[in-house]
Amino acid sequence: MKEPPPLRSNKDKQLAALLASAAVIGSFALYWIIQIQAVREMLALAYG
Amino acid sequence: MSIVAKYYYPRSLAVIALLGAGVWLALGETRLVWWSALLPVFEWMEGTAFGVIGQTWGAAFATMQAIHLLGMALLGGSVVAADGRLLGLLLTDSPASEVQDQCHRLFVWALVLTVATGIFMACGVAIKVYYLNVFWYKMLALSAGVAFVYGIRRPLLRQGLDAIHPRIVKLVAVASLMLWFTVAATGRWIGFSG
Repeated sequence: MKEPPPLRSNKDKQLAALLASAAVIGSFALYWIIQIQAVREMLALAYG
Repeated sequence: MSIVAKYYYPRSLAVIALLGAGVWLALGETRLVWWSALLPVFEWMEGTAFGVIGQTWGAAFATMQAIHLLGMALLGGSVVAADGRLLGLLLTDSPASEVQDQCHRLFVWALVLTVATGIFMACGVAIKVYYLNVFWYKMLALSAGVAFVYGIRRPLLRQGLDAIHPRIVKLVAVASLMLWFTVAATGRWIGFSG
């Protein structure tokens, strides 16, 4: 049976939101872990 | 229903294509070629009237910077209020749709103000920011933030919260907070650099 267009559109928007949000959260975690690690290494070099 | 029609989700496919392009850019050499090609643009920016004023007239630069920070505060406030409402942490006594609409109106004005003053400031220190990695991360986060707001968040919320899975609403709110936090934090980092 063919789904009515608004329901398909809703599913599409929710799936797109899920994918984009997961990518943002993953990238955020990766970026900030790398940045914090780099600062920790610099502090270790400076102060031992 | 044909298999193509069954799995045809244009917005989701666009997100997958964009993410794929992002990974390809991050892993390949193309971004370095583009980065090199952009140097003349940044050199030109320093020579414009904005660039000359920004470099020679400290008070003008400081005033623009103050307005830029006020714009960031407005933008941050609108994002925190809107996403806090989606997470059920803030303004819970007001209808969610009303909070979203009013915060979005404020967000648009704040974004225009921040981008306009940001362009002026970037002209004043164009060559410096060109060589700063954090500037490019900020531009990436800003572009992703604007695309997220207009391509994902607004179209999703326009359907009404009742039509959306609650976990997706919360996920979108958390992602939005993280994106705009990164824009603000990398902007602050540019100020600390050099």
